[in-house]
Amino acid sequence: MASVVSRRSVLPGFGLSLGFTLVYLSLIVLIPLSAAFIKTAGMSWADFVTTVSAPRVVASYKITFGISLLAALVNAFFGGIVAWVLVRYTFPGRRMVDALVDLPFALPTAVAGIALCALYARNGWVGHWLDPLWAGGVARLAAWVPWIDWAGWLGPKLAYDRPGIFLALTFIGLPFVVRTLQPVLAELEPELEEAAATLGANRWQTMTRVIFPELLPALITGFALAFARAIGEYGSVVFIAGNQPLHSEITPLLIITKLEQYDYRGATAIAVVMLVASFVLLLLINLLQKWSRRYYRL
Amino acid sequence: MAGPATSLAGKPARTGAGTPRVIRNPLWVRVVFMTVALLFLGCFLLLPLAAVFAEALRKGVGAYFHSFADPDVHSAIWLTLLTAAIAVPANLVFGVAAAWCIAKYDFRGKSLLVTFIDLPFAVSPVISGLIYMLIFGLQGWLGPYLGSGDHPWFGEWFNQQDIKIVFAVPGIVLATIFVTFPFVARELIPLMQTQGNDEEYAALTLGASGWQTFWRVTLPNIKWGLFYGVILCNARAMGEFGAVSVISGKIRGETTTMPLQVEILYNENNSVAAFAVASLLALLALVTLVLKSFIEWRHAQTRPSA
Amino acid sequence: MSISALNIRKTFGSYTALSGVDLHVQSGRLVALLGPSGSGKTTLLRIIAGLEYADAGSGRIQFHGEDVTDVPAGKRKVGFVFQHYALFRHMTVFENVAFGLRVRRRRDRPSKSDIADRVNRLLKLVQLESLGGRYPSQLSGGQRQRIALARALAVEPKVLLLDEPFGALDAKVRKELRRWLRKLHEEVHLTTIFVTHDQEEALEIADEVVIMNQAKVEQVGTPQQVYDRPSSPFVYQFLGNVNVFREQSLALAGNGVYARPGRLVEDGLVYVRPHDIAIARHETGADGIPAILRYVHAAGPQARLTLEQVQNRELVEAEISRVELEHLGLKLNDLVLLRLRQARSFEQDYAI
Repeated sequence: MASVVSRRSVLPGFGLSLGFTLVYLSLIVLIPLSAAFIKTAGMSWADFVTTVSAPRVVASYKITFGISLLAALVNAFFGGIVAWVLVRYTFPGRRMVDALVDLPFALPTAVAGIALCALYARNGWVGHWLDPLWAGGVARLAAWVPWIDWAGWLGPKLAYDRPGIFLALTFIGLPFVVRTLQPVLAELEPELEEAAATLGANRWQTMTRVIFPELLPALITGFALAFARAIGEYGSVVFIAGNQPLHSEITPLLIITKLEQYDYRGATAIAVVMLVASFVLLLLINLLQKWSRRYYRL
Repeated sequence: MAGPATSLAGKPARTGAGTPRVIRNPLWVRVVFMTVALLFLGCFLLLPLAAVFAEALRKGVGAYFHSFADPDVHSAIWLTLLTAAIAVPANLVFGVAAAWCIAKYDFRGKSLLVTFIDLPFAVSPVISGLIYMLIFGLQGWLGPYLGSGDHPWFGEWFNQQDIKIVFAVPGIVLATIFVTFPFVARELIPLMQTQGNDEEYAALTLGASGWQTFWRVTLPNIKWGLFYGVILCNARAMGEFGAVSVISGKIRGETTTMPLQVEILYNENNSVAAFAVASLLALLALVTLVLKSFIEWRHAQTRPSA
Repeated sequence: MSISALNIRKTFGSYTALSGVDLHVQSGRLVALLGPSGSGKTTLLRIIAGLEYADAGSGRIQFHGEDVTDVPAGKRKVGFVFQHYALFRHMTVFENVAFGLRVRRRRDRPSKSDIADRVNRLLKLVQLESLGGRYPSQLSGGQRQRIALARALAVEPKVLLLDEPFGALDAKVRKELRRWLRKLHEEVHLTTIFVTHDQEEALEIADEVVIMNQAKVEQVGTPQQVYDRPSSPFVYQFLGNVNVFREQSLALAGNGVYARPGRLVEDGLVYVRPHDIAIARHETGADGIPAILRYVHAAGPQARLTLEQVQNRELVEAEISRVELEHLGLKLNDLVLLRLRQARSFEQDYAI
């Protein structure tokens, strides 16, 4: 930030506000974040690689990234429909439903975690009928296609297993797609659809060839935001995941476990891997948003 | 920008809903869309919310209120309020300063600065706690040893001064400030950018000083956006779990915030008490959502005139 | 108070907004800065107001011979009216107008009743005395514009600067407001500069017009001077419709087209306003540029004709009265002869 040069402006306060911003940003964010990288730099490369590629750690990456991806995909699909319904249709209570979409932002993650447990555990509201169905389904799959480890992949249970992680990550990622799509959909001119109709397109063609491509950049951005949020999530997942090493242990939990064993180096090394992944995602999202802005401006 | 995609500036003033259109999907498609959307939201949003209150009241109103008699719960509520009371104003001042310099001036490195402000949203809460452990923890970077060397450093100094940061309230506050860092700034930046500088220039030509311009012209114009950012910031500050749980040490009655107290009670199988405390946090979330919708509604009312 | 801007340069990155511009405005004048968008006129106005700085090391701004280059905007005693008014949205009309007085330091600040008196007087001046309690959002565009003006006048400025004051208004309101501004200027007699891209507006109300193009001043003069004696092809074209003829094509048309020019500029182009073209029915052997009538637009007192030159198929616009048109009895695709009453090829006038 050494090259900050302002075009001289008559509005006062530039030096003060920028100075304060930079100092506060450095103290709260940049210096602490760099601590993680400096701490890791004290490790030898071999140590680092061994730590971050231990089987238990690699398993946690797979679980975290895999289930986050799945949850984000599901959110992209349903979020798209929710955004469409909220923007295009009028129905009683629309305002309330619209407000409720932000619940995952506002509800503390720990509360979400225990609430999902109360719902999906074997004795829970939904779990007491859905859990046996799920277990039965997995068992049937295992009978039909025995060469795949269905119980291992899908978990024989809903709560305290992989499906629980999926449920929690879907919950916390839900608003992202809806909120990214909504303004784009609202600003989509009805004339576009009317033009398509006058040119002879039917409704399906209009939806798939006119509307969907217009929405695609926002949809991808929302998906990426939901994914980025999911890979870092901790609070809502730990309660419902079961947390079995190699099977349903997410990476953030592994970092905490290492910390509790006073293995600061190990924790930091894994954290650095996560940080790098997050930063790459952040960069991608920024590029995506730049792209979609250009795309819409036209 | 890996943060919540909600923003006042991004809200359309009016949505297209309600305008009767000839060109639209056939009835059955609309019905299917509505059903799918509402079912999905019902399962994933309404049910968990209902579950919190139902579980809290499962053993009756008496048991519910009895949960709040626990002094540990009192101290958790107190600590949560204290944390928010420090973190929110700190980030408020920062957010206004950052938005002022980013929205009102052109300078090199501006987009980099904006990206840096968004960084905490991209960082896992667990890592947010970890980095403060690394700096202030006795085992950490500014602890007695730096890296693999053996240089005495800050942690030692803090220890000598008898200032505890890790496993104490200052650490909790710092971690909370980190995770709620971008809320106010990212709300104000787009808002101030769309408002432009003309009103400030007008005030200057009329002889107002810089501070007068800020207090009398800029602040009244951004007050709703500011309020919006503050309630989101506050909700997160009071509800933060991951970052705080790493750095708090979870000393009962001393370093547990409400979300941590929920975890402790839940793990002790004291389900009613856990959900009772959780119900307070859920109420906070509901109040946040109501305020948020109210501001959005006001914003939509006033915007076409601007 | 007179205003001088001396050798003002302003660049934004690689873009030059003003390249060494000089401007002198005499006390009490109403001056229009006229030019196409991007010509630098608004930047010049903002530099005069102190809202923008000229490039370091370049020129000076003087008010009444006194250098104000380093005086901040709030102390220059300028009234500035913004294109989009920049009214304070959260304040009533009254509060908007009172703002400049209320932010003064206590010892310079008029008493509450003095402020109220002055605001009410100003509201009366802009003919909106009954709207003091309204918010800007409850006013029409023209009303907002007048409030912005009242607010600027409240601090008793020595000069009044207006940036595209009527740009955001519809045609009818525009016309009313610019007459009103002219009248107001005659009442208060403040040195006033306003920026516009509308030549009609500038020519109608300004005492003096400053025409800008591509970061430079092209010409300064009274409306009549700049219209009748434009100093460059740009000014000629900017101040009204114009036809451009090639000198060679005129030579073929015979001597009677117009008095033979003494000298032409190198490019050999001749500029003629549509109303300076006379039309006659075609006669063999007569002088004139042969052309075919292609289109007649006859709404209003004047008829606008589009004609195609026979030699080179280039189009010509001519304006004649409806009476004359009927007298000629022309039909579409008739062959006619064009003669030029007044043409310019730069530096000299030619008239029949």
